[in-house]
Amino acid sequence: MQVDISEFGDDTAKELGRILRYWGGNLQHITFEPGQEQAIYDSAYREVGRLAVEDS
Amino acid sequence: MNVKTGLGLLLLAASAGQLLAPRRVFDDPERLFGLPVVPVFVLGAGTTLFTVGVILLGEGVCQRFGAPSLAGMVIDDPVRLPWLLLGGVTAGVVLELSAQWLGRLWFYPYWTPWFYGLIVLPGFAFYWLSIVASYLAAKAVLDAVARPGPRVSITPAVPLLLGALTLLTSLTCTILWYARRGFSLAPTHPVPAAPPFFLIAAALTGAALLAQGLLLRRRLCSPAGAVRHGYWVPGAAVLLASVVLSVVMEILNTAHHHWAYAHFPGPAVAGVPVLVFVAWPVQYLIFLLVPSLVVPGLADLLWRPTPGRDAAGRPGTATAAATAADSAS
Repeated sequence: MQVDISEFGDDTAKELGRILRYWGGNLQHITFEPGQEQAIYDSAYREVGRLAVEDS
Repeated sequence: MNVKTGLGLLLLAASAGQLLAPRRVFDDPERLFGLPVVPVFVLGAGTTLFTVGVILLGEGVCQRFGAPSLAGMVIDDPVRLPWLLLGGVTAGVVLELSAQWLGRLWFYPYWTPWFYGLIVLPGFAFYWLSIVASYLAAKAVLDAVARPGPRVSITPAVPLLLGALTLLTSLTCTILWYARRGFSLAPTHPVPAAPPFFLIAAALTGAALLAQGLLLRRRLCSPAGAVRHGYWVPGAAVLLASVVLSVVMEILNTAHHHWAYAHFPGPAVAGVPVLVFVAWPVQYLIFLLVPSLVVPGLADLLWRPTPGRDAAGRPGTATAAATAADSAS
C-alpha cells in the first residue's frame, strides 16, 4: 500500500488510521494475485494512493 | 446466492407468519401485569425474524459485491460491537424523543409502559442494525453500477448553522406548545392532540443537517462530503433502502398494527399515511448520520466508496476479485 500523506497535515495519524482500517478490513474480498490494484481515497474523497498486489 | 442471502430471505418469509395469526388472538387477549402476552409474543417474534432476516440479507448482498459490512467491522475488532449498539441507541433516542415523545406520531398499542421501558433501548439498537445493513446492501449494489454525478459545492458551515437553527427553532416552538397544554408521556396509547407535524419534521431534518455539518467540520466522510466530489451513491442508497424496507415493513404492519400512526396529516394508502413513506428517508438519515458522530470508524463504513470503486463510483480492478471470492465462499 502506498499513500501520499503530504496533504494530511496535522491529521496524518487519524487519516492514515482510517484508511488502514477501511481498506485493511476489506482485504477478505481480494484475491492475492499480482496485478490486483485498488485506488485509496482519503476522507475528502481525494485519491491519495494505491493498494496493489505485486511480485516481490 | 450465498448462505447469508438465502437464510435472510428464509427468515423474511418466516416473519410473514404473523399474518396467519387469527384476529381473535389480538381482540381479547389474556394479560400478565397488563401485558397482552400472546399478541406481544407473536408480533415480537415476527419483528425479530424480520430484523435478523434483513441483517443477514444485507450481509449476504455486501459479501456478493465485495463491500464492507457491519459483521466485517465487528469481526475485525469485536470492541466495536458495544460501540455500534451505543450508536443505535443514540439514534433511537433522537428519533423516539422527537417523533414519539414530542411528536406523538406513533404508539405501541399492545405494549404497557413498563414493557416499553424495558424494550425501547435494546429494541432500537437491534432495529438500527437492520437499517444499517439494508443501507450498506443498497450502497454495495449501487456502487457496482453507479456512474459519477455532478459535483456540488457545499460550504461546511451551511448545514451546521441551518441544522442548528432549524432544530433549535422547532424544539422551542414544540416546547412552547406543551407549555400551554401540558406534557404527558404516551408511548402506548393514542392522545387527541399533538404539536403540528411540520415542527417535528423540521426538528428531525434539523438534527440530520446538524449531524451532517458536524461530520464535515470533523473532516469525516459524509453524504454531503461525497456529493461535493460527484459521489452520489450514499444519498441514492438511503432512498433505495428506505423505499424497499418501508413498503415491506409497513405492509406487514397493517395486519395487526405492532405500531400505529397518529397525527400524520394528508392522505393514507392501505391505512398508512403517505407522509410515513416520505419520512422514511429522514429516519434513515438520522439513523446513519447521528451514530457516524458517535461510533469510531462508522463514518468510513457508511460513506466511503466500496474499495475497488473510485471516489465517483467508477469500478476499479477489485470487482472481479470480489466476485471470485464470493463464488469461492
